Amino acid sequence: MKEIIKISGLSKAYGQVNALHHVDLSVREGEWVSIMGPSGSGKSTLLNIVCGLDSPTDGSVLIDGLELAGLSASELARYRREMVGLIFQQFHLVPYLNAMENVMLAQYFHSMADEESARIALERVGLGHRLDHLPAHLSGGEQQRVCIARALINEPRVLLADEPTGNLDEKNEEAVMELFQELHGQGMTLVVVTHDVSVGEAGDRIINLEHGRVLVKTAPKLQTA
Amino acid sequence: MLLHLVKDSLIRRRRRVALAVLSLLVGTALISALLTVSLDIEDKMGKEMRSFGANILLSPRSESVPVEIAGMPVGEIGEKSFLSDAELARLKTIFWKNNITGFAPYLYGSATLKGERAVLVGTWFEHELATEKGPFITGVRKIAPWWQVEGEWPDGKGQLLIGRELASRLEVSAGAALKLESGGSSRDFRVAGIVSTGSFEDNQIFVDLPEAQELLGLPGKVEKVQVSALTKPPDELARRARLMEDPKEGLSPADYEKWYCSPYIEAITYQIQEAFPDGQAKPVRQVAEAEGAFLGKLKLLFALIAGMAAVTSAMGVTATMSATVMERRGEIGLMKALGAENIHIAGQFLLEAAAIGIIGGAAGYGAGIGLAALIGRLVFDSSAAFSLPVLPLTIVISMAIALLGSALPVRRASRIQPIQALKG
Repeated sequence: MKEIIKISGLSKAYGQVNALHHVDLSVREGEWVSIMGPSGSGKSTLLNIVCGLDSPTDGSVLIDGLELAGLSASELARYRREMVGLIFQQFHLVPYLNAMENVMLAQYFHSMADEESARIALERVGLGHRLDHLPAHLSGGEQQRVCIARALINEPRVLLADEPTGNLDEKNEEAVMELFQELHGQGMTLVVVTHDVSVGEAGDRIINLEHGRVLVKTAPKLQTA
Repeated sequence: MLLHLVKDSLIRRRRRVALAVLSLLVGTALISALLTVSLDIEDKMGKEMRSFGANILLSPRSESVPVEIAGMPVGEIGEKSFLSDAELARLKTIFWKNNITGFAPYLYGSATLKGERAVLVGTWFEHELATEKGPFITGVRKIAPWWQVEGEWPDGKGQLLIGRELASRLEVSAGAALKLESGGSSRDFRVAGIVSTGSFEDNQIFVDLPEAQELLGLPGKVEKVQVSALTKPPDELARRARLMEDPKEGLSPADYEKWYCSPYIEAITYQIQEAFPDGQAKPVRQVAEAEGAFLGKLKLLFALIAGMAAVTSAMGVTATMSATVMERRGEIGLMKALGAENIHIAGQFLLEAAAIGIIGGAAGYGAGIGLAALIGRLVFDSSAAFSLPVLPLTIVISMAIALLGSALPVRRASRIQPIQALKG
C-alpha cells in the first residue's frame, strides 16, 4: 500500500535539548500506527510536527506527497484543515458552542458550515441525541466523540490522536477504541500517541520512542516488520 | 458561523463589552456633541458675535468726502448727503433679510447744554419696524448690547441718554432735567440714563431720532446706519469674489449664484447696496474677519478635543480587547489548530469591534444630544439644533475608533502559536 506519511532524518531541538534525533519512519495508507514511549521520549513532539503545529529543526516530513518543512503559517493552516483530523487528550471543545456547532467550526474554517453533515458526523460517533448539548453537559467520552466527529468532518487523509483515551474512564475508553476500530475498518489512516499499552496494541504497529529515537516494534495483529 | 461566534462572544463577555462600549460612549458622546454644536456653531457664534458690534455700515452715496473723528461725521468736503429713515425697512427685504438681526440709524449734530457744546446723536433706542413678516424690533439696544446704562433707557419723548464722562463733567445724574439748544431752537429733556461704552459715546448725548431730526432741522434724515448681520466665514469663493469689483461680472454665473445665495458678509453687503442704490454699503472688515478667525480657531479647538477623545476611547478599546485576546488565547489556538488562518481570527475580532463600535456610537450619539444641549445652554444660552446626519457619522467614527483600537490586540491574536495556546 502507498506510504501516506514518510519521515526522514527528522530532528527537533529546543535550545540545547534534542527532542527528536534523526527519526525515520513511514505509515502506509489505511494503517493504524501507535506511537508509544515514556514521558519526554518525543512522541508528542513527533505528532505535533506531523500535525503541522510545530516545525522540525532538520529532516523531511512528507504527508501524501506534501513536504511540511518550509511551509508558511498559512500553508500549514491549510494543511491542517484539509489533510488531517486532530484529536486531543483535553478534547479542546469551544465551551459556548454546542456539540453540533463545535463540529461545524472545523467546517467553517475548511469551507462552509453545514448543519446536516455535522449532524451525520455526530450520529456516526453515536451522539445523534446530544446535538445541542454544550460540552459542559457531556461526559468525557461524549466530549471525545464530539472531538472525533470534528476531526472527521472535513474527510481528512489521516487521523492524528494525542492520548485520545488519557482522560477517559474504562467504559468511555472502550467506546472510543471501538470507534477507532470502525474507522480503521473503513480504511482511515490513524496515528495514535498513547501511554496506554492496551490502546497501543490495538494498532497495526507500535513505534516506540526513547530519548527521541525510534525503536520499531511489531504489533501482534500484523506480525510484520 | 462567524456571526454566531461573534454574538456568543459578545454575550458571554458582557462586562468587557460593556467596558469597551462605555469607553466608546464617552468619546463618541463628546465627538457627537461637538459635531452637533459645530454644525450649529456658525449660526450660534454669529449671534454671539453680533453682540460685539455691527459688521456692515450703510451711508449715503455722496459726491462729498465725509470727515469723521472718533466715529462721528464732523463735516464733509462738498455737499452733505443723507439717507431717508423711511427707506430703512428695505433692509428687511433683501435675499438674506432673515440674517439681518438688527440695525440702528444715526444722525449727528451739535448741541449746547449747561453752556458746553457736545455731540448730539439721534438714533433708535428700541424701534418697532413694520416688515412683510410682521413687526421687527431694532435699534441700539439690539446691536450694541454692551452699552451699560445707569438709570433707564429712554422710552418716550423728551428723554435722553448722556455719556458718562460728559455727565460727570456737567455733574448731571439720571433723572435730571436738561435743556438742549441747537441751531437756535431749544428743548427740555429728562436724563433717563447715563451711558458708558468706554469709547467716544461717553462724551455724546443720545436722543430719539425724530427729536434729533426736529432739533437739527433735518426731518426724516439719517447719516449712517450700522447693520448687524449673521454671516458665514469666508471660504475660497468668498475670498475670490472679494478681489473683484463686481462679483456679478467677475464670477461665472454658477459661482455668482452660489456666492449670492451664501451669507458671506460681502454678499449681504452687495444685496444691501442693491436695495439702496443711493447708499453705500461696506463691510466693517475687522469685525467680520475677527469673527471668521475666531470661528476657525474654535472649530480647530473642537477638532483637537474630538481627536483627543477619539484617542482616549481607542486606548480604552485596546485595553479591553487585549484582555479579551488573552482570555481567549486557548480558543484562538484551537481555531488555528483546526486550520483557521489569521484572517479568520482577525475577522472575528474586527467584527466584534465593529459591533461594539455600533453600540458605542449609537449610545454616544444619544448621550451627545444631551451634552450638546448642555453646551448650547451653558455657552450659547440656547439649545443646539438636533442634527440627524450626525448619527451615522458618529456611528462610523465610533466603528473606526473601535477598529483602530483593536488593531494591536488583533495583531497579538495573530501571533498566538496554536501549540503554545493548546498547552495552556
